[in-house]
Amino acid sequence: MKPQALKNVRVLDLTRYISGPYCTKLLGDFGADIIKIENPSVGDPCRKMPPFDEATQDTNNSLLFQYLNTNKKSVELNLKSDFGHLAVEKLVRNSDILVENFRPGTLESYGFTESKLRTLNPNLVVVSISNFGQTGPYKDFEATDLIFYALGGLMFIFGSTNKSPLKHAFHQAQFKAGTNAASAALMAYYEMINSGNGQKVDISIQESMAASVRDTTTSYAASGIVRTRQTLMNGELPRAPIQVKDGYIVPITFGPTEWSKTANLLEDDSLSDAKFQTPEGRRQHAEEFENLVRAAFIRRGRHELFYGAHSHRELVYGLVQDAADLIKNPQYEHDQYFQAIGNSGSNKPKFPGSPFKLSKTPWNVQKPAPTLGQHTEEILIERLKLPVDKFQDVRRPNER
Amino acid sequence: MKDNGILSGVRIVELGQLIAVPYATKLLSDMGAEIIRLESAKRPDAYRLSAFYDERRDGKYWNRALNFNEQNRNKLSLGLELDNKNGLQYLYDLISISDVFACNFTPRVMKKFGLEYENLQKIRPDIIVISSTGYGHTGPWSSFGAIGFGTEAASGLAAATGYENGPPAQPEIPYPDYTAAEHTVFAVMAALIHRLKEGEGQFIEVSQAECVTSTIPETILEYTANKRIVKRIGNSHPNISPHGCYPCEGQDKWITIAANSQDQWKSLSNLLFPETGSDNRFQSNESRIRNRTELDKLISSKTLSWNNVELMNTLQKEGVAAGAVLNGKELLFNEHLNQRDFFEIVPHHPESEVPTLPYPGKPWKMSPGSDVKMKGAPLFGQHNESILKNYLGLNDDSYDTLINEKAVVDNIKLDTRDILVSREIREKEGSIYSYDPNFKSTIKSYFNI
Repeated sequence: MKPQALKNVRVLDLTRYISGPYCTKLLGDFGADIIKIENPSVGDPCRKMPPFDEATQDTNNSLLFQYLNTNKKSVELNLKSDFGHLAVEKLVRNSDILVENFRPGTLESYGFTESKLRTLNPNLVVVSISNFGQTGPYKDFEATDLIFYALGGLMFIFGSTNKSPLKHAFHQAQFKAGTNAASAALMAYYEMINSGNGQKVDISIQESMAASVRDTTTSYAASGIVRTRQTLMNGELPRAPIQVKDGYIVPITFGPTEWSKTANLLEDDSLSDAKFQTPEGRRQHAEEFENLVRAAFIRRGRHELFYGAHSHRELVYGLVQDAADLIKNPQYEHDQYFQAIGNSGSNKPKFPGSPFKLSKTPWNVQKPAPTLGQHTEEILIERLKLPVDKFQDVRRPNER
Repeated sequence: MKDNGILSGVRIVELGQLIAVPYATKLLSDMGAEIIRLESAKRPDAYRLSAFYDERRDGKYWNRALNFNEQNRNKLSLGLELDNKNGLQYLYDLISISDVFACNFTPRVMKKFGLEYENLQKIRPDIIVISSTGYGHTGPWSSFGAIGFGTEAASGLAAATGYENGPPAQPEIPYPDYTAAEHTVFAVMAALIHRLKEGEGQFIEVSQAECVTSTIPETILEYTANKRIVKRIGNSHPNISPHGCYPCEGQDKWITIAANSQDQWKSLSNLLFPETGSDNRFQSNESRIRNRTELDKLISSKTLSWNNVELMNTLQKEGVAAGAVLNGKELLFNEHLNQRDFFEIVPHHPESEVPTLPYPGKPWKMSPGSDVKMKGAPLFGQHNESILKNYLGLNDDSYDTLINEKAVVDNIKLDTRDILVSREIREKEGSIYSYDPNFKSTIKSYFNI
């Protein structure tokens, strides 16, 4: 087996839900040693988040949790107990990176202030992920992914102008912040190798969104224009999914100069009418144009349109695929992208695999997600050699 | 701590355009990596050709292009035509003194210029090479060109997103480019760490579509475990109600609200409709999910008389998750982001005729001294002479020859794209929310620049 890029990097993982676990999953899947601390008996609340494998009816066995916690070791530890405190001190001394996503101030309330952590381990990189960052007027605000779309600027430019703003399905903001946290952890770790000094990293999920919304603020700062959502009837092909006979396609061209190629691809004589051959003409007859275009698309199949478009370099059409399409997509199959992991359920679900490929130090899922506390004894007794007589209160849950 | 960023000493040669690679290298250059952007006058980055500062299209408009300037701060620009035989040799020479080569051309173009990993490894054995493409570097879709609107469709994200009973939907930005760029930064850092420890470079292959699929495990797992295709449900949540976007007072003003617990629900209903708090259609989360449509209607009828920011603050004080939907101007002036100094104040080269402007900041905050003093995006070809003479040791004669052969360029001789539509037309069509003729003084005074 090839070596992994992050072998020998030791991560103390005090995260739960999605953003933190995705961060430590990226680190773990590329070789880091991840020790995940979970509240005794209760565990990461993500263990109870859908989807579940309905064949097993086990709503304590979230598939999302299994995806997010590959290659990790689970240790049950009550952070408010004396023993828990002692164990964390020892873990901090034996780690390179600590990642946490408690509410701001929580880790400090357990006695682990920055200066305390620094005293225990001057090299430690401390990564904190939170809704709105560790400082500022919103730092205690409640949020779900929806709120980040609103306060991160993406929602206002998402959807139709005649309807409410929209967000993506699922938990994109939290995945984004998790990815950025993993990058920042490695940057700070890289600096630590060079200088010997650890440092603190503050990740705000709101800022992960606001950093990556092209020309939303810049359009105002540089031209006074506030952008909005999609309008219809402007004489252009929509940059949005359009209905075809058996699904949807996104008809992207590099500029209206390629209109004649689109008209050819759609094989519809009415679109070759002289009045549609210039942007001005299409704009002038926008409603008629749009109706004809929609009628032309709906007559055609999505695969013939998609592959037909890509035989022209300028027509970079997108094929709208759902999960069923993806599982049998020839490119994903070529990349061996989907992976079965461990013995997760009788239906044998497949998981997204390596998000990118490193040729010499590959992604590798050696261990499926741990059961709650699976490695408590291995880590606390065998690895850290903590006093066994104090071990009895380890599994008592933290009331908080 | 170094005072010029924790990645100072890392040199990256970039042959990229639009966002997927440039945003990744921007995040690295914000932390001190040196980025040399190769640019071509014959095939310039499309972002050099659209959307200009103050909408001015005269003179060297390409140095005022706002999307280019947003994605490329702190970088160096070398205008070098690769179809000139010497041009290509100088690219190889540059790679030989660099740590990373990043490219988002299709494999066909990389091969045409001899930029495959195996070739570059001969030039610099420990080079890290990034190929970021829409669908992958090898395989049946690898020759397909792509921009974010296409890879978002392919990734599985668009099919799950959209209004209830409506078509799949995507936002007005090439969203997957950012997801791919964020993963690329992680990949580069992992490769740099391996190289620092073991002295070995490698090839990084990024599929923009697959990066996005990695962030939507829910849809893949629901299908592979239970053979169920996730339905589009707008802003609703399958397990939380209320969870939505509701209209507020004013033109196109909205608030998002999510009541994640029974306590949050009680606070919300006490504030908005105390009289219907005991309505048994809304007693439990389960019944609220069942009666979601009626509940959303009821909430909308109440939020309409509120200012969205006031309602957000009132609800958050009660512990209810709520967020005003901020437009671009409101985001730029958001009190929380500005108290955290999120926006970077970036000066531009005087020749660009762009003043100092605020731009979106970094998605992380590190200890003081970890990042760099911001410089604006480079003028097209701004660093031709310094790179070719100082880094590659060209003498005056050979440099002049390259200029004469138009292999080294600092000028774009192309018209702006004909997709540019005047602001007046866009306003009439409703594709602009608002225009503020006083934006220059507003920006200057708010950011004190």
